[in-house]
Amino acid sequence: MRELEEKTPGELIRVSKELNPSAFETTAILHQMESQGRFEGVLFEKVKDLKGKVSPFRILMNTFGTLRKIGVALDIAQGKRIEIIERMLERQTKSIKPLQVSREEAPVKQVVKKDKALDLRDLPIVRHVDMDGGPYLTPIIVSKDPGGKRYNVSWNRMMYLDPKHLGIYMSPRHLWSYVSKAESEGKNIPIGVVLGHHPAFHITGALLTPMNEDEYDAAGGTLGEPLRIVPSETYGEELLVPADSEIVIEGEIHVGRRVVEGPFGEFTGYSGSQRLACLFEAKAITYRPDAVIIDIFPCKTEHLNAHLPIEASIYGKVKEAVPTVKETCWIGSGGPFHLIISLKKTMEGQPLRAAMAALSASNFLKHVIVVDDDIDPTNLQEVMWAVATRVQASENVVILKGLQGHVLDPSVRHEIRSDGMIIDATKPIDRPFPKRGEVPLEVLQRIKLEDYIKGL
Amino acid sequence: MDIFDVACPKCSKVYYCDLLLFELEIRLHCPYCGHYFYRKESPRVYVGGTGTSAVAQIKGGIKPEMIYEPEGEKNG
Repeated sequence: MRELEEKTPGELIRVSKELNPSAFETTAILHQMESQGRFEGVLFEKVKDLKGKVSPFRILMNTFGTLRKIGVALDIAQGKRIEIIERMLERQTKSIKPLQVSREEAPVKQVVKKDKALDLRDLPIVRHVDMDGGPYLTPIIVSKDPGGKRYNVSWNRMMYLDPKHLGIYMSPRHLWSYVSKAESEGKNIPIGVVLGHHPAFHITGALLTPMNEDEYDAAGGTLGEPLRIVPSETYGEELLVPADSEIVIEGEIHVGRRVVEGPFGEFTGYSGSQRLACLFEAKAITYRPDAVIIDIFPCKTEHLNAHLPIEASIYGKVKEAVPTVKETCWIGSGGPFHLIISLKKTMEGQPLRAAMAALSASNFLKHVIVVDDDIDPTNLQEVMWAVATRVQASENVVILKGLQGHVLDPSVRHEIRSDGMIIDATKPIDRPFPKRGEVPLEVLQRIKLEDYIKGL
Repeated sequence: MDIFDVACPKCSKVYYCDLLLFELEIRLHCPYCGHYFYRKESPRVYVGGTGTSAVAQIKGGIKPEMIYEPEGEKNG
């Protein structure tokens, strides 16, 4: 936060008036800010816990409200959008081994509570949108491959159930595969629930790291330095947790148990339906006395921005397939499941190849629009102009059936099977095509608006 | 995934669940008042699909008594 205030003044504001996060009061502030086009980080300094008392903890929201703030986390405070994406890509392809420290060196061990002293109602927990099934944490989950050594870092939603239990929902990705493995062995799986850390650690939770690469190493790459880790109170060396966390809840996901969870306002902008999720039992909580909980406002821009590592991965894959790709735009493309690619087309067929590389890189994508490099992919008006003037549906639109989709896509009727669509909105290069109508550049340079129209 | 609307028997507010929960004998949880209830206790469940299509435009779905059958067919 100090770095943010120093490097990007105005990107962080503090709210000192008392608010009750579980009664939608913090998201009411953020919703109104977003309606006004404001995306500053907001530190809520006086918030009530679930017992209704003022908490010693604070809540930081909108940490990922702008790419600029993510840039600060990646040490690129003044970068352009594509430069931040390229920095993310560079960081996430590096790996730095974690550094294990002692309990005494770990800020998160300053306070330790277990057994009767552990009560999740002592936390301020946000209820985000009207249909949420309860107060929700939006933490980073650290887990270890059952029977293996690899650590996974993921972003998951957790619904408050009672003083020692939370429901945890997971999409069918890495944590889900660990839980499936644990279920087949009949053993509960220990996890750490990290409620605040460096923002670069949080976005590690959205990395598309392969299953054979450790995500503690990847977190080091994203942070630009080793992730400091420490044995957990409950599981010792069997579960190492991030030492510099603000708060860690230790506990386990019960195999063979489920809870009715949700609805929950998701990154799609919709309240996702009530469904079955896994049961988490808290065993211990460790924290800094003045901890700051990082919370995401899931239905809003912040949640999309937090997916930046996925956008960076997609960009990397697309560029690998077609090196003349200039830029991609996923976040800000008009929807969480679209991608827009701009490229310098040097031969026919490249747009389709680039689009297929993108679709194979992430199940978040179902629609890909490819435009020429004269179109700014972040400017939806220009993109739609290209679609309107360079596309003939029977020639330039490809429909794909039976793609692995995203379970949270409200338009998907099957649990996960989706359709895909590629729109090639590039100009043909194997036949003449009209040029844009433009005033000659030489005249534009000579005739300046301010010389002819006063008051400009 | 397809969903179904369900009204809470306590507060009457409507929300929705995965269709997967429709046939399970488990209690659902009202996000508005926190009440746990079985689907069968709900005063209104709306699944959509056949018989309650957008074309039919009948709120609450199609019931057998709504269907007109030609005179000659009624007892046939």
